[in-house]
Amino acid sequence: MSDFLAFRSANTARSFTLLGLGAVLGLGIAGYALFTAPGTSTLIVAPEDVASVNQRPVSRIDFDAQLRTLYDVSPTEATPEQRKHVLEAMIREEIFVQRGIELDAAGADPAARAALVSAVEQQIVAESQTKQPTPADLEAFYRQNQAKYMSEGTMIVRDLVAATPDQAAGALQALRAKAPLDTTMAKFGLKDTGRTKDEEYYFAARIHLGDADFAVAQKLAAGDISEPLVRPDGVHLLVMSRNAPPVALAFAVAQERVVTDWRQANGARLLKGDETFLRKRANVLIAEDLR
Amino acid sequence: MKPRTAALLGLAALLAGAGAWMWHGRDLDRRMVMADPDVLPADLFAHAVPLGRETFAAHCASCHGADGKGDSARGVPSLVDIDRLYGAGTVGDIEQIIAHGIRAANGKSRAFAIMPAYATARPSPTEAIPPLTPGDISDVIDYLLKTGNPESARRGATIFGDRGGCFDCHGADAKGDPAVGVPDLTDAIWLSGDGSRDALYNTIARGSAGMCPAWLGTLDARALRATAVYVHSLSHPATPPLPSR
Repeated sequence: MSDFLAFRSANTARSFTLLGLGAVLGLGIAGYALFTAPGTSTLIVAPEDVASVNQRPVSRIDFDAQLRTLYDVSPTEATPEQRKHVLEAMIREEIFVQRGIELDAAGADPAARAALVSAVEQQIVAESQTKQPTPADLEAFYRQNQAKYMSEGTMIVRDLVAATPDQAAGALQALRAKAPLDTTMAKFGLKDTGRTKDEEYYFAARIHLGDADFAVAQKLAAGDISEPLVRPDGVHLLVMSRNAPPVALAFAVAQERVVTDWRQANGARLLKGDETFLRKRANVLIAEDLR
Repeated sequence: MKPRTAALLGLAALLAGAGAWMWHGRDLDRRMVMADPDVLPADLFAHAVPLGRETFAAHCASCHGADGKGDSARGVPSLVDIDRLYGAGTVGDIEQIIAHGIRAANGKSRAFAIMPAYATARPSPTEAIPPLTPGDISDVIDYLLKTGNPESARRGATIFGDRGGCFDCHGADAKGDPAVGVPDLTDAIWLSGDGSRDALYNTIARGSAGMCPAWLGTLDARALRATAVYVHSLSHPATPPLPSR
């Protein structure tokens, strides 16, 4: 033993022992790397999986989720039959998916093609979703897209209609002279069309009045009455009681929407970039008549 | 014993110790990933929490905050209370959300409902829900906050349970539905804003559809499980062993 550990002098047994140890260690490391590298064919199911089908993993997270969805039980609570049923269903799905790839299902089946396109789009966008915007990113996006972050704009407007231009002109004169509305309507035979009612958002008022009359109404301040508007059903007067045009929302108010929009814009940009790259990489030949 | 011999033996002992430590860590990882997340033994819980905290800090804290308290200004839920948007708040439920996300670009993501923007011509992109007027929205807020005159609150209740379609997601009792990620409107916990009249108006008028990325693919099973355990521990500080469902 003392000779074995006497490193100043040569020792054949020590040399062979260290050589053997080194070889065993090397083989151990190589074997470990070989059998644990992703995609390596092994007989071992990884702890995060519940099965492996032709080296394709069947995820334990998905298995647990299926148990909860189908039986409302946790993996511990599940009976052996429930576990077996879910596992068999998941293995069957994986086998059929693999067979579908072999048969080039995406080449012929429109539903499979659409699902594949959607899956690839999602994968591209998913990468962008894990990137978090900084407060500076959000504020810059908010400033660049200020027009999107406006209040809705509201108005209270009555749409009155007279049978003749004279009646409308008389009513307009009376109303601008501050005559009471009800009296004036009765005196000049004006009727409320009922197209607008109470306070409305701008978008609703536009739908109810139509684009042309809404454009007139939008310019009226509270207390204003429009010039007579000649329309097929008579001569209209718009009486504005309140008009609150859209105003810019403060960043704090719009922040939640800004985050959502920032993510969408980021995803769309990434999708476009990936599509450009894929198009460049693809060998696309176009028929002569469509060039 | 000669110093060189002692050093060699010490080195061998150190290597053996490091190997044993690594094996023990890997064994804990393996057991943690394979265990039922909802009944995790104490040693696996203790192993998961520090790792989960690290992953949370790197990937989740930018939205949920370093303390997990969320950010109601951005509609990001707090994870330290027991009010869960989705599911029962078990580790398994949390793990599903972390893995597949909410309204994320993932086929298994949870995307059952969004809060319509009622002050727009088309409040929901998928459902035929009619817009509301400013007066309608004010009435619904009176109903939810139990403010204003009884008549407006009564009108608000009618809109909530009828043409507004609010009951469809939030339930006739407004207590929400964790199966589809719809918040309870009767408690003091607000997902978006501070529960003020202005904040409610902002949500009802302009809608809300928060998202959580799908981390499966970016994080491995070990990190996903550990993060779920850590997030669960935020609202259940004296947890190990985790309670059974």
